[in-house]
Amino acid sequence: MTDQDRHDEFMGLFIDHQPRIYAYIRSLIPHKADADDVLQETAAVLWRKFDQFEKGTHFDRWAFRTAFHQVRYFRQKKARERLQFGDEILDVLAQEAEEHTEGLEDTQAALERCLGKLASEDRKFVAWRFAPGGTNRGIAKRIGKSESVVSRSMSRIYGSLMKCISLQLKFEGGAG
Amino acid sequence: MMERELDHWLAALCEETITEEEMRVFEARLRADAGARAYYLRYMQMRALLEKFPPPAEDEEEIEAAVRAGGARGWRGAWWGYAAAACVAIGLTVAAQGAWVGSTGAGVGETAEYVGTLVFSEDCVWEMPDGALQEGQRLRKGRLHLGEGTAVVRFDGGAALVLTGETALELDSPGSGRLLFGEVVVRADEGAEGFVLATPESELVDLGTEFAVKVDSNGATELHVLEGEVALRGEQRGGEVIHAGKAVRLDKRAPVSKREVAMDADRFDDVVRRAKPRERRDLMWVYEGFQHEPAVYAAGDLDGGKGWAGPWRLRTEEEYGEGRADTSTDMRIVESKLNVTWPVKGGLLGMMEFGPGKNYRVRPLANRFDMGKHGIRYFSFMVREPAHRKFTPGDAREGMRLTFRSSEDYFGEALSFGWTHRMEPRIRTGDGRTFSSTAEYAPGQTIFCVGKVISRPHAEDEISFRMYAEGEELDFVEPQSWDVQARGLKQSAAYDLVLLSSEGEHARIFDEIRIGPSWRSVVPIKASGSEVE
Repeated sequence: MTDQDRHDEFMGLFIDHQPRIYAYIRSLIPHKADADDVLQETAAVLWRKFDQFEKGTHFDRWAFRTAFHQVRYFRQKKARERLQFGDEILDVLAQEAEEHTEGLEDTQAALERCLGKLASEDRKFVAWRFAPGGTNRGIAKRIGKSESVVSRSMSRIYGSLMKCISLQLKFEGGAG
Repeated sequence: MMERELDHWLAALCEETITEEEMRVFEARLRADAGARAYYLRYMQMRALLEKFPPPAEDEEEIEAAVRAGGARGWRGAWWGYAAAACVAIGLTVAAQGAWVGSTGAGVGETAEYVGTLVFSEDCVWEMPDGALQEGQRLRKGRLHLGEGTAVVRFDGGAALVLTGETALELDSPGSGRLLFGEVVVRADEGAEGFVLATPESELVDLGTEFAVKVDSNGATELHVLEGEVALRGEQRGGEVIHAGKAVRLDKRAPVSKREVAMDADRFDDVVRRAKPRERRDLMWVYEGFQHEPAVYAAGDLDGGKGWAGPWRLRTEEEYGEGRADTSTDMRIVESKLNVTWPVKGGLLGMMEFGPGKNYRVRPLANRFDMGKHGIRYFSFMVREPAHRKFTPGDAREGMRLTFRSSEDYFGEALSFGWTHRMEPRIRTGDGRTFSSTAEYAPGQTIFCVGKVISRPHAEDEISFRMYAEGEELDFVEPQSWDVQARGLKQSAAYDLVLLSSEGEHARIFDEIRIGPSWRSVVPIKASGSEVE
């Protein structure tokens, strides 16, 4: 197998699993920018060690293991800068997150439907908040309200979405 | 109650506002309660999905229609499309450089109704029911059919496509299109990776690169990768990557459905250059270069330029109100006080100086522009912002702006373009709405400003503003991003006055007001026209 073939094979696998890998990391790292850094490191390590991956085995499990090491390493580096959960609960969450990501596509479908059900103002807030560079502060500036007002609104919107997603998944019988 | 508490902790955790005590209680709860953990995991999953595939702030009617139709399926396709594209980009970057390029992919525009802009159009014949398209025009989802000429379409996600000759292109979303036949060259610079161009044979995923695509009348597709890499998607083509310098022909009906062919494609810039792009001063509607001998003039004496209904004047008493008269009534013309680093004809001749204090000058336009009707207008002007330290409390507020007002309702709706006392580009409206940029410019330099005003009778207006610092090269076509864009505006005033305002302790120089229908009608371009973007 040429380097190019290996590279293409790796990419194919990574494409398939990246949403789940990111969701897994995000479950263990509360800040988006940090999660992005860890995903980057994880991708780099996976590629470097791709020789060790046994074809036909589960790429996702291998990726989760690698990601978990990167999460722990990252936490050690940032221990003084960030409030973080203890190692014990992290282990439990990591284990459960792995199973939880299996329902990611169902959750995404439910989320789409639920976004469609939000009030137009709330939908706009979500779009602004998650647009590149979006923050609660930015929204507050945009609408001329205080950041705490926006934070409360966002918290309420997330709560509505969570409720709606749960109902959708229950109704559809989806995993999640 | 339980969920509300969790919602609060989760939001605080993600927004980094959680306290140590809250964190401790939250963790204890997670340790003890499997239900809370499941809730936590679903919440984080939801955030992950929103972060990686943010929903567009779509036009209300479109969202309602999608919901009525049984769910916004279009979003789903687009989200996973971005995801796959971003992933490919990640993988390649890791492989090629051991470094990461952000996976934001093609950003999703905030007004999904529109998906791109026609930023360049030279000698174009459009074969479309609506007739000719205008440079600067915003483009909705749907088909473009170019009969002849050269056009550049910039998708809101950032990718730019140059179309030459007879070409049919479907605009699907801010980050995707479909080439039905003809030739395009695609360029997706950093931030626009992940653009997807579908053809009858394959989906081509741009990985931050440049490539040419030719689709013949039978649907056979040729892909020529000029720079970077392109991933092929579609039946039996998952993840296959074509590298720079390679060209392939895809044809399902041929004995060999994919084969290498010789590279034969021009670069994006070369294709545009061939169209001999030039400045379009001839299209300009309004011009004021203050080309008068240096002197102090009386109000009413400065009546040069074109597109005006009268000379510069002071505000009337009704327009300034009691006690708000100008500090100085001089109409002072000076020379060579701007440091003009752009190819602005007349940029060194006469220019208007505003003295210290609060000074305002008004000039009526020959043709008003009616915000209640469909229209696209661009304008530009230059200002020498004096050297002053950036504002700190207690300082006089320094500022300059150009405002469009209506003589019928002077204090009603208005559109004002300038900067804050911290030199952040800003758009303001007559009802006090303010849109500021986070970009900051330094005082003590000449600044070239460009604005764009799109009015629509039944939809949101689009107002954009961009400043160029001294020495900064002017964009050859309308840039991908502006410093500041006003959202949520729907104006109906008919603007027939231009008001220049200068406030602060320092004198200021103002020059070269242009108003026209396109970027190139108000922005000077080097004669060679060699710079695209």
